[in-house]
Amino acid sequence: MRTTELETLDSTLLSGQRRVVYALNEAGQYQAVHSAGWEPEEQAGLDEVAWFHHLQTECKARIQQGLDSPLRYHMYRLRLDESLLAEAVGLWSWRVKRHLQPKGFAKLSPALRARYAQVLGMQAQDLDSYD
Amino acid sequence: MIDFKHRQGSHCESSAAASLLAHHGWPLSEAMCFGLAAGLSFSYLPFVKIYGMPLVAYRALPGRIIARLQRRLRLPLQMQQFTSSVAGQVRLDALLAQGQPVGLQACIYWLPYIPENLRFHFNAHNLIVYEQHGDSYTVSDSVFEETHSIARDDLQRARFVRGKLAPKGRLFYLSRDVAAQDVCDQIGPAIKQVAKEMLQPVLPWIGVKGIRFLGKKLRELDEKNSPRDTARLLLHIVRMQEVIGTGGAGFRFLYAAFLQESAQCLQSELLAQKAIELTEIGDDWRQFASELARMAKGRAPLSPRTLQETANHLAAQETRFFRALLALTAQLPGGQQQHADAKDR
Repeated sequence: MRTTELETLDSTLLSGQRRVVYALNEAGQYQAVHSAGWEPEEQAGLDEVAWFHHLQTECKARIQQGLDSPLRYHMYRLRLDESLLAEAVGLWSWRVKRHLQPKGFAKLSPALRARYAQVLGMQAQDLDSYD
Repeated sequence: MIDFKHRQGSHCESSAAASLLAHHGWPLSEAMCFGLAAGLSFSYLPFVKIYGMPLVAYRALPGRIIARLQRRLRLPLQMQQFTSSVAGQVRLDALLAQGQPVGLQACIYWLPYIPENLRFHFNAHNLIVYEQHGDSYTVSDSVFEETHSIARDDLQRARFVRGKLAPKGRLFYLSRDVAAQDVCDQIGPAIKQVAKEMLQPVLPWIGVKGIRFLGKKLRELDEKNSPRDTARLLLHIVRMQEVIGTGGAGFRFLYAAFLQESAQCLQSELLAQKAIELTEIGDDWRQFASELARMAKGRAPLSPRTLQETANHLAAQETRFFRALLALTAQLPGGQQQHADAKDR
C-alpha cells in the first residue's frame, strides 16, 4: 500500500476515529499514517452490526408471539451468541439453549437469573423487559 | 503523576510492547517489535468458532507476540494472571502506585470508550493503564489517537470475562528499565522463525497451507448455502483481515516496514527489496478483501472458483516470497548458527 492510495472515507464504522496503518511514501520509505478506513473494512464491520440488529428485531417479534424468551433478546443486544453466552455464564450450552426457550426461561431460578443478569451487565428484574 | 507517552499503533499487542519498552528507556519501533517477535503468520482454524464462523488470523496467536519478544530480547517482562478479580485489581493498583505503566488484556466489548460499532466480544485486546484517579484509570489504547479514562468497574468487567482466550486479568509490565541493545543479530533468526512457520507449519491450517485450505473451503460454497449465510462468511473473512487487529491487510505491511527497517540496520539491499515485494503481496490481500466484499454485497456475481484461484495465487506468492526470505537469512548475522527455534513454540 502507498500513502497516496489511502481513501478519504467518512467512516461510520470508526465513528471519526483514525487508525494507524503502514504504507510506502513517495520516497519508497515505510511510514505510519492515519487511515479513516476503506470500503471493504467499512462494509464488513457494519454488516456485523446490522446482523445483530436484525437478530434483535426478529427476536422481539417472536417474543411477542410467545415463541422466544427475552433472554435471547438480551443475548443479541449484547452481541453474544449461544456458545459465547454459555462460556460467559459458565454453563453447559444445552442448559443455556433450554433457558433461551420461553418455557425454560420462565422456570429459571432466582440464582440463575442473577447469574445471567451479572454476565449481561444488568439488573435481574430487567431481564423480562425487551425494548 | 507519571510521565507516560501515549503512542498510536497499528496492532494492539505489538504497539503495547513498543510503548512499554519506550517508557523504560528503549525506543524500539512497533514494526521492529512485531518483526522480532515473529508476529506474522496465517491461520485458518475451522474448529475455532467466532460467532459461528471459522477463525482466520493473519498474525501469531494472541499473547504470542509479547511472549516471543520477551524471549528474543531477554526482557525483564513480568506477566501475571489471577483467579480472583479482587486480587487482580489490588495488584494493578499496587503497580500503578509504584509509578509502573501496566499492560492489560481485556475484552473489547466491555471497554466503553470503544466506538459502538467496533464493540464485539474479542477477549484478547491489549491496552496500557498508567494512572489511577480514585475510581477511574487512564488508559493508553494504541488503536486510538487519544488516551481515555475508564471506570474501575468497567475495567474489572473487561479484564475478568470468561470464555475463549479469557484474559483472567492478565497484566504485564517491565520490572526495570532496559538499555537499548543492538538487535541486528536477532533479525535473521526472527525472520527465519516466521518463514519456517509459513512454509513448514506443524499443522495444515497454518501458513501457506492454511491459505490454500481457506481457498478450498471457499470453492465449496454453492447454491445450497443461503445467500445470506454465504455473504456473512465472506464478510467475516474480510472482517478478520481488515477490521480486527489492523486495517488494510495491515500485518503484511507492518512486517514489510520491519523488513525495511532491518535492511537499513543490516545494510542489506536484498532485504530492502523483500520489503517492496511483501508490499505487493499485501496489496493483493487487499484486492482479495475487495473481491470478497463485492461478491458478498452482490456487486459481482458469486464465483467460488475465482475466490479459490485468488487464495491459491496468494499462497503461491507467499511460498515464493518466504522461500527467498529463508534463503536470505543464511547470509544475515546469526543466520548460520543453529537456533533453538523449536523450543520457542
